[in-house]
Amino acid sequence: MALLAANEFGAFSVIKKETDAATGRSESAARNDGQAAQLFGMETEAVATGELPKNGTASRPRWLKISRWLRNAMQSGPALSPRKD
Amino acid sequence: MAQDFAVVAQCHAIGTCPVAAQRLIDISAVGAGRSGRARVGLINRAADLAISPTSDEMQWGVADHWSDPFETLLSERGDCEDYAILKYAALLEAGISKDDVRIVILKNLFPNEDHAAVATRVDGRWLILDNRSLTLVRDTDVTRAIPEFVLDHEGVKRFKWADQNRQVGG
Repeated sequence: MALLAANEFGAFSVIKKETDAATGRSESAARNDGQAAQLFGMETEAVATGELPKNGTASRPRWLKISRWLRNAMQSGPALSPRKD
Repeated sequence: MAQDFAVVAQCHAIGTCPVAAQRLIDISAVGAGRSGRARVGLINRAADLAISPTSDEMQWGVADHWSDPFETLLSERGDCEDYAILKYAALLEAGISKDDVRIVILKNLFPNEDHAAVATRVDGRWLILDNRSLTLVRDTDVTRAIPEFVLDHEGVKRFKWADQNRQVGG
């Protein structure tokens, strides 16, 4: 499960280290940037289907629905793809 | 939902547009010519002003209903997750990378309830777009709320904060 999160932030770290080496930035500065790039300064891990919350308003169908919605949105062609304008 | 965005693509292609799609494009367009925090701030404000806060119970007669952007824009009403979904779509439509936009689920402490907001990364820093505040707040400055889950194009993820604390407490 942690592989997804490691991928998400690991790639960023590799790029930053290479850039920092080229620019002479310190290791501590690079580490601070890495912290800033993490949402709420925390790592995340993928949630297995069976772990989706069931209490309160965060019902399981709700999570599945929004997750599906976001994936569909990303597969929807050029309109919502990143543009460079 | 993909059909909704196909409609937006057609709007760009042929110039005529259904009302809801045009509203989404308009909200995204308020940030045109700007970049960074200014662009995000303008889009956030436009989305906040486009709809009125209404509970799912009042609007739909159910405890929870997640609307797609078009549904929200047509009804001009919605609750926190409807704002978040609309902003998520508007930011993407404005050209922000999908890697820089998330929907976050927080446990609000006052009142004690789940709450949805959007997070977007600007200049390496995450900003929280919360319909209750109308302002951009850095993720590290969020108070009275505990981040629980994050949703993006990859799926649902959980913040590891709770687990870390549990280990410390144990």
